[in-house]
Amino acid sequence: MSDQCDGLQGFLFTHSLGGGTGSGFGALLLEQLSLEYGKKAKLEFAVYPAPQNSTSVVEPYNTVLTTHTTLEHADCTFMIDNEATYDICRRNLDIQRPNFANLNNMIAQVVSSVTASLRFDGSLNVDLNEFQTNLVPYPRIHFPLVGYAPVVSNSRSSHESNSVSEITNSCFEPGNQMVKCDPRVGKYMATCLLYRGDVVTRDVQNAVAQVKTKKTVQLVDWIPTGFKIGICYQPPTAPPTSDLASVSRAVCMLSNTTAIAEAWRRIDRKFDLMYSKRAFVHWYVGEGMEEGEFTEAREDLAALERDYEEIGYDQVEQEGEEEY
Amino acid sequence: METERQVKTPYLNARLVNFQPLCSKHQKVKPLQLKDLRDLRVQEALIVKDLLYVLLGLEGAYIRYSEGFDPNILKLRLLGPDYKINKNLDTSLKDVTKRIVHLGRMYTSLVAFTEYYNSEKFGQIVQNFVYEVRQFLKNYIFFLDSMDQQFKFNKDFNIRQLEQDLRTHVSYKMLHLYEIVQTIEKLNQERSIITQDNMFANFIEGIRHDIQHTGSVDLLSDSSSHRLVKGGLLLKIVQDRIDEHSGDLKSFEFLSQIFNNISKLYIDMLNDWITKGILNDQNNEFFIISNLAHDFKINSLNSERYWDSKYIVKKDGLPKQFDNPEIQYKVLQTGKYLNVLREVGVELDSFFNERVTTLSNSNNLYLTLDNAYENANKLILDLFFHGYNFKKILKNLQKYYLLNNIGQFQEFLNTNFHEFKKPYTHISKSKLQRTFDQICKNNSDVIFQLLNIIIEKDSIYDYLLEILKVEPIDAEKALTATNFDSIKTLINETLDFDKHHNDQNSDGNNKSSELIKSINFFTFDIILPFPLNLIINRTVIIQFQLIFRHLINLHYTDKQLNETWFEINQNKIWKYKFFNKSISKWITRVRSLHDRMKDFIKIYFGFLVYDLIDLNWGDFLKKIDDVENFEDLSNYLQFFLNTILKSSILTTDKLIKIWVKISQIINGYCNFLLSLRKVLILLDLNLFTKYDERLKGQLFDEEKNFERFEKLNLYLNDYLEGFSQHLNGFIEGLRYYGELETPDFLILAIRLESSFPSKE
Repeated sequence: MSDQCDGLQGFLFTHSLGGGTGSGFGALLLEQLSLEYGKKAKLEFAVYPAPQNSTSVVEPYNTVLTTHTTLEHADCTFMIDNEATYDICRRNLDIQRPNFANLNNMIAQVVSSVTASLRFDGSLNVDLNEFQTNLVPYPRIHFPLVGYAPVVSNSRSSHESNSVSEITNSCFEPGNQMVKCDPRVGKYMATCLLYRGDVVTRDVQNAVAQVKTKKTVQLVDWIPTGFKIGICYQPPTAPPTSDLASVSRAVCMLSNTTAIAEAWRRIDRKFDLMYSKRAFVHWYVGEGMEEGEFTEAREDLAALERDYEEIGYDQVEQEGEEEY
Repeated sequence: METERQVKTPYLNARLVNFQPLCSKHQKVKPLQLKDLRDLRVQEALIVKDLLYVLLGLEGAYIRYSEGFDPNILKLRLLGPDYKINKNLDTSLKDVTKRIVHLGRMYTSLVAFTEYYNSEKFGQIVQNFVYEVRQFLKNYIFFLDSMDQQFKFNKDFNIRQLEQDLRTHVSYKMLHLYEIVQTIEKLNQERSIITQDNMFANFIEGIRHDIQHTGSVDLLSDSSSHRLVKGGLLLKIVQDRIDEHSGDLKSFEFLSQIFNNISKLYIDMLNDWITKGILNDQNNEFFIISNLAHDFKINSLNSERYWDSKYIVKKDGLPKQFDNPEIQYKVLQTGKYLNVLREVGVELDSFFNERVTTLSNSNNLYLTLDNAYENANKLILDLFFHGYNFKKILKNLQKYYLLNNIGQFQEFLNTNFHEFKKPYTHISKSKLQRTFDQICKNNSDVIFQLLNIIIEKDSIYDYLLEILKVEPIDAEKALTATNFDSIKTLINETLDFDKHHNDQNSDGNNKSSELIKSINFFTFDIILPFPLNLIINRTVIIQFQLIFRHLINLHYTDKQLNETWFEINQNKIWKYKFFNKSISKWITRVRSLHDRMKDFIKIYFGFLVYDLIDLNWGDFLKKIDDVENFEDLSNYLQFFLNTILKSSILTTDKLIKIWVKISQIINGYCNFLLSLRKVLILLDLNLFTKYDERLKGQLFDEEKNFERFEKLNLYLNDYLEGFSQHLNGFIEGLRYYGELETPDFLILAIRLESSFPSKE
């Protein structure tokens, strides 16, 4: 089907990393696509295992293995974890026991924001390629954090004002990130703010300037600190079954920050705990895998962690001769 | 010459009989000597009899024309004869007689006037006036007849009664008419000797006046004067006279009546113009004239200029009511708009009920004119917005020229990216057109159907710089010029200067390969049909094109950067992890510079699109939603485009120059990076062995590699320095001009500064 496309821009991938079809088959499919459509953008929306609740014990294995395989093939992976999204639903939407439908609604809003500028006319649209060129300074560092605002329930929407600066600020709140990690401890390398609806540039610029002055938002010193801004004048719509209120404007933040390394460290630690005892490894070996692949994957992730660290700290010294 | 005037034109009610022989030359019978008549009563009778002749413009026995008068000379007749009165007349009678003979003089003059001026070349208004004079003369004859009766049969009749009756019924009217006639004649004399020189002086004087009062040259008017007194000029003369005598009730009534009668036709013309847009004026009497030759053919190319200049205001001979330029303008525009409507086939007859009925009540007149103007505006706006869906057309223009259809355009750019990289002389226009049609094949709007792909002769920035370079004609010098020829020379000089300059340019300018890339020469052209081009005229299109070309240039650069990003981030060779440390450091620096460039383009692009185009576009749409005035519509559009052009750096030549340099550096850098794969392979032994067979026998050479790497470093430093330097210059320029004239620059400057903090 993709061969028949007039203007194939790329692929959007939604899968989970924890286990089931998503991690194994997803990785395989991605690999194949990357072979056949090497030049097209491949964006992933990956459901990442949450720190507390999990559906399967071998999640760490699956995650590490999948990440290892897809690291080379996906151009940009937006991370979402269930627990963070659950929290957002509970806190902002007053849903006591959020179910998958609630989560999927949230994620759908994000995906919709990401692709809004492709689907609607505008004068400065970003195509799928632009996400990686804007967000990914180095090929391997392609796991941006996702934030979305406003997340308000129907019942509360009437007494929330939702100004541009408010939604921008709330995007940077740790509680509104869709991965459990604290962006306050990391450094931002690149940020995309995708606004939708009734938005005026001047407000956006003011909001961004405001955000930049915050101490919690630290930027790496070696990249010009521009925030990329996308504006699509089409307001977001909420599906009828959604708990999200339909609002006149919304913003989706995609930020490549070193804080996400925290998530990698967490999963790696779990992997190490299990792998040091070779727990459950026989299942994988039984299916035809070799233990070597485990170590290789683990090393790759360690390298990834290191990459993140390096980027956060030691890039400064080598820029000595550059002028700004 | 005077007799010639008489002979050549057959006058409608010219005199058909010869003039009575002059007493001075052909006197056969000598009258009684007055000095022999001692009885005053007899003298009075004789002189009254004479006066009755004189009042008909003839000679009497004791009252004769003065020597110089010859009735065969028209000029003298128009002036009226001087009368001599017999010196032996009793002094008491002589005084009265002297007063009365003036009427005789006036009578002759008026008769001559009705004969001579009742001709087509003086126009209908003057003819109307002639009619009025004739009516008066008819009554005058009746009056004289009654005087004659009195003289014959009323024994109490005397010269004083004659004078008294004349004074109450006739003389003031006659005096007014006579004076008016004399003014007309005098003006005609003056005007007949106006030469080319005077016209030029008038022309310059007019411009100077305009500049002093309005600050600009009013192109909608014609300052040349009529050669003859007609139309509005006559109305003005009468109007002036009314004003002079506004205290004198009788005169005022009489003159007003005449004014109303003779202005009827003028009012008809005015009504035709402001209600139907028709200029029904064969004799050029109205103050709006058609400027162009009758065989002028409208086609879509010249029609916009045609409408600008087809109808203009003639400044000479404006009735007082239309002295105010605002009123002139309103009347002119009203008719013009209606004319446009007529031209596209709208039947106008039923739209207006209101008509101008009289010129003398100015308030009513202005009210009616205002209403008509409003109506015409409403109609033409209706025509544009409902008939032609003008908003849709504007939106479509924005779509294609300001790239609101970015999806399609990006596809177009992607497909033709390589085409755009070629020098503009090698580009295949048909290929571009084909792909464009292919991509937009589902678009069905008018604009799309009219769009044409064009490869211009100048690159956008050259073109802009050239526009900015054109120096205005030195106004003072032009105004002191003494005739049309010297203005021509002045204009020629200016043109020559440009040409000369261009020659120099093309000689000395070794254009870099970036500048001749066809992306800089590509544009859409469009020729809109009448009447859309009244608003979207050539200037508007050119402005749209300039913005468009700048935008696609940015898109091109952006795309180039993107492509390079993939090269330096995704390519296996660039991603190769085991380069030695200095090379991977170098690669990091390459990426960092690339990122900075990308950021710069992003920031500038965002500013251009969000802060300028989208914002102003929104304002503009809001404004035209409640536009009431056709002219405003055009002004708003102009304002919108001007704002964008001004605030995007496109009207500041210094900034354009820096921008061109920056864009050159960025594109050059991209091309440089895109060509580096081979060098990188040569730099690393592992890669070298891997791709050995592709290198066609080159050897791995440590020493040369050192040199190569040095060179790479050098290049990178060059680009880095060039970019930083020009970027700083750009920001500085933005600051300078931002504070000086364009505050919008400051926004961009602040953004760039915060993203590229300078070291100091």
